[in-house]
Amino acid sequence: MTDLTQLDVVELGALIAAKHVSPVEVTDAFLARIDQVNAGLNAFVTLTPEAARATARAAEAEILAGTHRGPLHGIPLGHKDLYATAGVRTTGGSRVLADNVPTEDSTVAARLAAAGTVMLGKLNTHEFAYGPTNENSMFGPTRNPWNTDRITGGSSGGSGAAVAAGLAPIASGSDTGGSIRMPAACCGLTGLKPTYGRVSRAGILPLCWSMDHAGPLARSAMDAALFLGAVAGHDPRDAASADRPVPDYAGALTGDIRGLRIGIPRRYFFDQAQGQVVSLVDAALAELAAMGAELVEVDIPHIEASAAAAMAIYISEATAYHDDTLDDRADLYTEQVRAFLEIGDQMLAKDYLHAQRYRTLLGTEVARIMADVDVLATPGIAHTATPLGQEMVDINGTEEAVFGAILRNTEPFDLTGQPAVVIPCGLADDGMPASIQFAGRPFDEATVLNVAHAYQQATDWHRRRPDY
Amino acid sequence: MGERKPITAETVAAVARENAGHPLEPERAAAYAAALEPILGMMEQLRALPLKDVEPAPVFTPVEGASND
Repeated sequence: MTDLTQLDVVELGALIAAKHVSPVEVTDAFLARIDQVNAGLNAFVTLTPEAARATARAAEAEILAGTHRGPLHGIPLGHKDLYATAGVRTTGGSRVLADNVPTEDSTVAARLAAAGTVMLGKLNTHEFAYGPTNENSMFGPTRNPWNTDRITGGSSGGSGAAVAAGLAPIASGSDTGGSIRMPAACCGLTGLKPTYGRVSRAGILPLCWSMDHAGPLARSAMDAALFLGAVAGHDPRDAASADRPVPDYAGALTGDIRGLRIGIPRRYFFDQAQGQVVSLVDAALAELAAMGAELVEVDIPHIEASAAAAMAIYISEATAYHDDTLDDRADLYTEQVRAFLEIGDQMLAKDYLHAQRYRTLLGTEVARIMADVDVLATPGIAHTATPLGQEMVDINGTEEAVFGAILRNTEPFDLTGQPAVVIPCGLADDGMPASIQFAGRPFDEATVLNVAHAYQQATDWHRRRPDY
Repeated sequence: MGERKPITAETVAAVARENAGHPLEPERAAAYAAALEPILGMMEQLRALPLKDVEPAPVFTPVEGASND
């Protein structure tokens, strides 16, 4: 008997469409797996088993009656606890919202429900998404199923742990400095940050309005494409939502990358990454070259100012959002998040605006480079998942703060808003996944997903599961 | 631009209390001053960028269709 919890969305969808299994069987399998292992991972923080079974029964009835909504019909999933879910507690991982029960779904949750998905519950997050490790949450830290003493990465760490450990085949996340891609990197998953404006932010608790993106943590690029196809598109509830046509992402994944030009920015992205991570990324690039891609060395001017710009923007926008809560409920935040928010009171407006001007400068430089290459490739993150509670990480003999190092390769593409995907490309000597990132031109998610898909057609790193 | 002096706990406390309206205990002000110093160093990196004719990324969009009905 196939273990349904080990399958990806495409495989589950095919079994459901062929009526070989029912959405109820699939949902029950994941709920049983959650019962078995969630306590050790702290991935799901709110479960909705009765609602899930009711939704699965409705999907089963529809499918048996001949109505098949598409590839996500009957597929279970989890939502990051930053996404508003009608009638289901949505805390942002914070005691500030411990009793918050929205009356309306976020747009992404609503669109996925309309596609026929079955929500299993809500997933742990670094408090208000304000941190890259998932250690600070009212529910406690999330643990990495590859090694439960390691971080999952954050802030969508519950989503990463759940999909990696087979608690859900796919999950939603959000990404402001890398919060989809960092847990994907740490947990051996495919994490897609679409173009800013491609997916609605409506109903998702903001960390920072001008850099927040919504997207999936998945087991393959094809699964991510199916998720994106269901949620992309204009939403009048989101002022930043782009009014552009939505292509057939899954249909664009041909796996043919012959002639594709891949830009390799060694400075900044590779030369400050652990040697073993770089070796595995270089091996992945050699694989892509063997498939017909052309590798081109590039350099991005001013890239080294990314961390400063991102810091100025996080600190300013997040503190503005939480300003009224800081007046009288500051003690409800975890200490790290409270400190970040209160430090934001010290930021000068001119530095925030310099950071926003830098985004224009960086975007212009990257656009110039991308006139000559189709995607950029970098290590997903500079190191493998670090031990929980460890504040520093060794990178080639230099000790560096985890909070800085883990964000280095992902946050530039939140600043530019261009699409980026992280996929696993090997296991390091510590047994933890290493990853490669592809970033594309704005609104060209299809190309970054197709490169990822091509690599996954030729390798099986995305099929490796932790022995948990 | 003149050289910046290291930020002090007293300055952090005064800004929090008088500018932001979020008074801090002295221990927090001291801890935040220590944390803020490297952040302010990073901001100097931004100020040194060639941004003279570069506009900020977010641009204002007039809201259409609003009414007082």
